[in-house]
Amino acid sequence: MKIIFNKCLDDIMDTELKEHLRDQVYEMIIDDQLQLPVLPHVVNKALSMANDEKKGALQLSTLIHKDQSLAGNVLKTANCALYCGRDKIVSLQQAIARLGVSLLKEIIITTAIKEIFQSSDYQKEIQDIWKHALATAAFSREVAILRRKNVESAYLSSLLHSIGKPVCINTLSKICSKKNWKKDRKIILELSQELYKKIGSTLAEKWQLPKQVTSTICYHTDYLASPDFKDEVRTCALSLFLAQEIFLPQEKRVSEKEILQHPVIETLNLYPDEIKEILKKEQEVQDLIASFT
Amino acid sequence: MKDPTHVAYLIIGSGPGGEAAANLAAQHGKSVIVVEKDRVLGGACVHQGTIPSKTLRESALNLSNFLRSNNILEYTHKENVTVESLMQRKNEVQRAYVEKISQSFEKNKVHVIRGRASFMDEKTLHVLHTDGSEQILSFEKLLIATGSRPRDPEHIPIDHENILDSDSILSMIYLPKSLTILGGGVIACEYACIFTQLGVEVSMVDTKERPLNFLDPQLSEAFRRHFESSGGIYIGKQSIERVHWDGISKVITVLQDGTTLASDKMLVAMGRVANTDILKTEQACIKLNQRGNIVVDENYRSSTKNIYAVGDVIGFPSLASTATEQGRRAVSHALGLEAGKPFENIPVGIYTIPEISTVGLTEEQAVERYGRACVGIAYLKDVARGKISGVESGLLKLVSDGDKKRLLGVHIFGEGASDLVHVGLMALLNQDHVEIFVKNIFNFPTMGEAYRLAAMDLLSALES
Repeated sequence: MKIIFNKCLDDIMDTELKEHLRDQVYEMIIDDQLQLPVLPHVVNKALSMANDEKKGALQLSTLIHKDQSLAGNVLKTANCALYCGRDKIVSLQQAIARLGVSLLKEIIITTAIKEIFQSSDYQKEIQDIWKHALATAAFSREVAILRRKNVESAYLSSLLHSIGKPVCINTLSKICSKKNWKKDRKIILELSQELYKKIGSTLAEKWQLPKQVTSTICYHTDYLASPDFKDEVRTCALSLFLAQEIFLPQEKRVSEKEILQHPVIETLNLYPDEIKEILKKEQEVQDLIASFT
Repeated sequence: MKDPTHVAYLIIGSGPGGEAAANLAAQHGKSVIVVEKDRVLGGACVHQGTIPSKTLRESALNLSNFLRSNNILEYTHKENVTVESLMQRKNEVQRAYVEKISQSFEKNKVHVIRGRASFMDEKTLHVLHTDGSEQILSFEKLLIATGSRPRDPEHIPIDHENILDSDSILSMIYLPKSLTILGGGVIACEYACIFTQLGVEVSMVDTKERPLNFLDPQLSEAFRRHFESSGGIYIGKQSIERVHWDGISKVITVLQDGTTLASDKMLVAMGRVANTDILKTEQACIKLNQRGNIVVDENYRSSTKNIYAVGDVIGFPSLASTATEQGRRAVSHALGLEAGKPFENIPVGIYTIPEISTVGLTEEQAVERYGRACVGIAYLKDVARGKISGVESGLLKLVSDGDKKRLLGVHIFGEGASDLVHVGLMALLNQDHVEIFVKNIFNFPTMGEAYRLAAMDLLSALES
């Protein structure tokens, strides 16, 4: 009886804790008190670097040279199976020359964004979120190529679709610490699943990210409701579904037939043979994940 | 697989040709099914081509007018201006068009099936749906209006990221600083003008000496001059040796003469190919020409007598306006109705900045057919309305058969050309003489007065 009573009490307390945390987060959003990570300076620079002929490679090189952690990551990534040719890349200059501005920009953005996906208490969960984001971005790139749509737009939107999750988890954890509330792992993760899109869109606004990224953050789980950038949103929705599958063991994955039944496929005008082409890219997707984790 | 469905008239494609055909057949009491590959109706014209590109053109034109009216000589766009932001009304326009087609189909009880069609034989069509399910349709008559898509030349590595085609260029995240365009046809020139007006450094490369070389030489030369005065570069009589991404930040184009161009992005606009590859036309014994277009007779009937084809899938002129008329004519023939005289004078509208539009014979064609020709030209800057609007370039050229003064052709370079040409079209259809433009009244001040000025020029040339 005592155990049942204590369990009921625990349940009530958990529900209350969840409500309190939720209220706190919404208050912080309304009062603009959310402590959001600063858009990594390098990402801002890289995003604006795309079409400036004079700055281009030179400034990119300067950017990388100034940031030790970034330089290390760029070299490491440049030498991974996905990007590396026969010869090992041994210097930053070589990496820049070999990979090119466009690909380097992608590596910089991905590496810098990865830094946000860090948390001492929830490292495993956040790492998983990061891997899913990478896989989603990789599949999005393949879908965009197949559909003759812009690859950069699809990749970036999908990479950042779940940016709100690690921020949400860290925010909830900090609230609990500050208020001396119980840091319930399960509650924090459940609540982050509920609130991440709201926090993600707030973050996108603060960072002044391209509008297609904001739309993708807000609507990737409800793609029919997206008022604009429907291509990017739907591409992310499909890619997210495919990405989730590749992390499952073979026996737990859905069949190809079931994949074809996913309603988002029809909205993207993709036919079975085209889906099969995308599914064949799984190894490339796995290579990308490996290069950034 | 579902049981076969039988239908009197089957239309593959819901673009201009398919829409017109479906509605006409249904209005004459036939059971009609339209099979459409895409989720939305309207075809490439509405979703990848005409509507989005003309919406982008509108932004570029507004900018051009603003710069001209304020005597601004140089313009540099913000680094992160997105192409999407320049097409703000595109979704609205597309939605309206798709709604219009849906409503007409609903009103005429045209049934739509979403799926990818391929022939099983001359009377049976296989339809594959996105969920993998299949359907068989049998038909009495069928019309193919599957349109076309950008050609993907083998030696050009289109990646839709740095080297784009006319579909992927519209979804660029940002405006590039420089753009190389391969091709000198309509699509290449339209985009060249749009991006030049938006402040992009544009270089066009083509094998022909002048862009739009099918036009009257004076018009294509006028276009080239205007394009170059706006900051563009046209490199003619050059073929492409190699295109590649340089591994740093540029698309490198190496021409046959060794010249190297470097640009942020490239647009490949080297023609379009008919969407016949997935149809399995051989199963229905439908003949294709060397370019992959369906071969049709004067009634748009293919080599298989109960199968017709219209629009881009049959090749030139590949215009939405002609596709609509072709669809009407094809179904009229299938229904045993009188379609009217075959059209001889098809106006061509090219949405460069400014516009170009022509109808009838060029001077060269007139000489070839009639032995001689007489022309009259009016420059739009000399027309009162042109002066008021600050027009600096543009011309209207009339072509007649010499002494008989019968109008044979009208060629216009200038904003509003695609509307203005219809005055000349009506005169051509009535087989009028050029004096009609002198003996009748035009509103003042209007660009239409250019007809009177050009006619006076022509008559003056005849007298002397």
